[in-house]
Amino acid sequence: MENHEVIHIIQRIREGDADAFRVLVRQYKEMVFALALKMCRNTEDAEEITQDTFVKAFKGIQQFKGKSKFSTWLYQIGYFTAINHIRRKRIETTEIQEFSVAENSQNALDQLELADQKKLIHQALGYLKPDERAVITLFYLEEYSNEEIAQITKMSLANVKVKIHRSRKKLSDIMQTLMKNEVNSIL
Amino acid sequence: MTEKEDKILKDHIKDDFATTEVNTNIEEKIMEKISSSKSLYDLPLVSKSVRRFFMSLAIILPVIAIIISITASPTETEIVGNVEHKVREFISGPFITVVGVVLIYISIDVLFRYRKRFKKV
Repeated sequence: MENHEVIHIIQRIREGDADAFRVLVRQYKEMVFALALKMCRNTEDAEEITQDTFVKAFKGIQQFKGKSKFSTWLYQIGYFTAINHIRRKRIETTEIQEFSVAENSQNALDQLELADQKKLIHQALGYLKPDERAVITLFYLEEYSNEEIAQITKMSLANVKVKIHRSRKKLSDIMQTLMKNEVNSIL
Repeated sequence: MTEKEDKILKDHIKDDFATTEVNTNIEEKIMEKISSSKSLYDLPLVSKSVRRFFMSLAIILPVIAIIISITASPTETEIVGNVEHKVREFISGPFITVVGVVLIYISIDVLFRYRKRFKKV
């Protein structure tokens, strides 16, 4: 959806046409749901977060100044709604203790079957913290720039760069560890 | 993370998103929540000028009341000179003013909200 179309819809909502909001919900619900699902890894919670995000966006539509993309603004609401939801419900992430990388396994991921790769990545993502998963999702899925991610998460640009770097490194290490553990269990 | 791993991860996340199915009811649920939330609390309040007037009253009146209570008849306060008297003086002065203004504002606000709600129905 083009930016001017979004602005026009927002204008209609501000004038009292609440039904116009349905267009925005239809357009962005998958995006918000995907981010929420990646962060909390539970369909029911992700749906709740998605609903709350849109309700908050509707209530705060007057505060959208149009300086950033609507999706960025909506993601920002979604990100913080998810963080609060996770804190409130105390959704825990699994901690992985060992991050030692197996030798000569740098490209081991290539050798796995596609289905196994997906399974491994999915599993590895579960070991990241919610905010790390959010940053990784925004970075890969939406291909947002560091500046946009900083705007969404309200982190400093330097912090975002470090977080992305560390999350990717951590993810890589976790994948290697998981693969090593799997190999050990087979042997 | 190698370039290859990076690409695999990117593809996985994109692929995962493409296959993510959102509950079809979610749109209806959101619209329902929006319409129910705006029925009472999201209706515009009393007009902005009325709100501003009451806000100013809520700030100015207690300040005036406090000034009066401090400056008025200090000798009398000194003569009586007990805490009970000062508390009674405060309750009958600034405290009542603040409570009064707030109560009036809330009543008018609620009245307007309900009036608009019934009008809408």
